[in-house]
Amino acid sequence: MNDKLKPAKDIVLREEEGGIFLFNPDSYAIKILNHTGVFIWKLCDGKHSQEDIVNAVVEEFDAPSKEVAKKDLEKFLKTLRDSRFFNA
Amino acid sequence: MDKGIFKLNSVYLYVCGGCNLSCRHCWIKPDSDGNDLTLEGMKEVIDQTEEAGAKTIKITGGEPFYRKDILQIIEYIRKKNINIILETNGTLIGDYEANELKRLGIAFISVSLDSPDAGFHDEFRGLNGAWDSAVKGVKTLKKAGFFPQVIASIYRKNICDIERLAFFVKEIGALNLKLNPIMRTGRAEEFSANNELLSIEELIGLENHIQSGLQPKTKISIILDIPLAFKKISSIRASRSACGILGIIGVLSDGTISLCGIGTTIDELNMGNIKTNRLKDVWENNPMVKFIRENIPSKLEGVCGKCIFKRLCLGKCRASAYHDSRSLTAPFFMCQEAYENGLFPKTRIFNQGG
Repeated sequence: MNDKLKPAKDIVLREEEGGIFLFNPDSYAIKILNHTGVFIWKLCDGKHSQEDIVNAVVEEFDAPSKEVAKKDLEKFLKTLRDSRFFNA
Repeated sequence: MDKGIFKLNSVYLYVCGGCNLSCRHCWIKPDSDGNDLTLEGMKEVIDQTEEAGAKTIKITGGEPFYRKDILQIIEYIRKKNINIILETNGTLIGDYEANELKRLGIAFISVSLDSPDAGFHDEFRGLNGAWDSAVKGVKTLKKAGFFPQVIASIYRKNICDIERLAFFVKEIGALNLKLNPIMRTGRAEEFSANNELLSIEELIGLENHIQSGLQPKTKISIILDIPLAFKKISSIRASRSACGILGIIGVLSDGTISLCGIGTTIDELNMGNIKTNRLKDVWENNPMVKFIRENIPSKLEGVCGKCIFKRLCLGKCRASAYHDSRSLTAPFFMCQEAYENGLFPKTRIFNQGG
């Protein structure tokens, strides 16, 4: 299975003074992101595997453990998948 | 449920055409001519609401407590296990009424109060003593165990008093303060002619002021009822600034089935009468209801058609759009004016390709 996630067509990341969010013009879904979410989203570029992203998160955010980071990432990615922010 | 039939969530029940106040801005055309349904007629509306599957009735008016049998109507609704949201001017609520409302399990009550100053409120509402009675109403509801919402209608003359009003309603026990900008329908058309309505620029400024200064300072939730496009992304879910037209229908005090209270002033938005039509049948088959669910939000026009929040917002207020342009898909005037004046947030517009 290819676990290199790639954004679905036309997904836009909007950065505003009051917050950052993803918008899916197909489903009109909106997902508000914190700084960690933005960091992860920018790595979902079709080139990085989930393992790469976990490692990057652990390094960038000083996560308590790789296992915790992996679990949190899976949960976060599921919410994005459910709102169809990634290619099927 | 057949494909294409939307669930009816809520009935807006205008229990009474009359009112003890004469508010300058009222968008409902008052009717004190004795056309209101009798108690039996209201029970029929409630029976049909149950049949249509709605789980909530919003009771509004006129002033609901202008009806002597309002508590009997409420009791009948609650016996059907239908939730109630109650909008009132609060002036006719005493200990007995408040305690009965509590006993009957009303889910949510909002009371109108436009100013921390009695004189302003009384003049605006057209009755001396209205402010005293409304404040007493809020306190009485609080004493009975409610946390009522206070709703203020805002325009150029009371916008400067919002901070004092927020502190005041917190002091008397309100849950939150909702600010409804006066719209140019019904009696309020004169506000537009007199340039008393707040511009979209002023409303955007007010929203920013509420979020960054007023709300933290007063420590009470303040909800400005403007379209989602002008709300900070972090407050979108809490803002409750969408109408929910795809799950709502109105029943006027004479039994007319309508889009909402706008049916008192625009006859073509009416779809029958509870005396001769079944609410369930109107909800499932009326051509206007079908048109709305087929075209809102997909065929919204103007900036509403380009807005990234159109599925949440549904074009804000379709009654207002129809009032302004005789089209149910026309853009909401605030958003369109903002767009034409370069004030609509660019990050809220969807352009193909980003």
